[in-house]
Amino acid sequence: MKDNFEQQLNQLKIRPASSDYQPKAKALLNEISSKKKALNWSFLWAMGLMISLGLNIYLYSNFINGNKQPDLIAKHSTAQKRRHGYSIKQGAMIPYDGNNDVIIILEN
Amino acid sequence: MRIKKIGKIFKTHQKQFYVLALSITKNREMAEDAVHDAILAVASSQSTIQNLKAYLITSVRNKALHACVKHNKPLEVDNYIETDYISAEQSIFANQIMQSLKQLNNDQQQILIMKIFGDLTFREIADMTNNSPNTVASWYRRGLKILQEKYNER
Repeated sequence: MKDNFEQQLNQLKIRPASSDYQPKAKALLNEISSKKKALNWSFLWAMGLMISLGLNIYLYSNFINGNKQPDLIAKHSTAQKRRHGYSIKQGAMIPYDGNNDVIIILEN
Repeated sequence: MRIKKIGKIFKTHQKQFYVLALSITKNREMAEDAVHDAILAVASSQSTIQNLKAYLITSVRNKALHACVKHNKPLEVDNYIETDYISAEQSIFANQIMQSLKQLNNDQQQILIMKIFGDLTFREIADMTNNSPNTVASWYRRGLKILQEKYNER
């Protein structure tokens, strides 16, 4: 059984926390959550940019500024070839698509 | 994910965190700041945490202790006991008790404040102070006895 002193003590209570206590904690957590989300999006965006850049470099080096295949050149007419600065060089006659057409190996 | 968990833990145990910090700092503003600082630190931490609740409790305690050390000069102790809704006689008694409490050691002060004024159970206090409920009960009884002696000496 509690004595008188303890009973008197039990009537005293601590002052409750201020009205800001809970809202401030929530606001802090929301702020951290927003920052983390923003960081994740920035990371994804940077990764996307790097992949896109890499892809562009690959495409540019292989297809756009690339190695023109002889058969592509050969599809142009002689006049077109001259216009594009290619000289005609007599070379080996090579069957083309099995049609008995020939192509002439050209050089720049 | 962790932030949601912290939010849930805080919602459930906000009073316990506040009482724990207050029992150390004896100042309401410092106690609230300690709890908020602890939440910020744990939420921002990159390390893997197994037991989030225990980690938060430890963090609150450390932040409260750090706040006390930071204010090196004797701090103006807040009247942390509610005196607005009690009689004048009880108010005088409350002030005398707060003075007598200062003469106890920190552990005893902490447990008495948490048990008597904070209405926490021995189990909850044991969780907060990382001790067994039996140890807490033992410190409480000893602290109460000393408090009564100090109060009677006045």
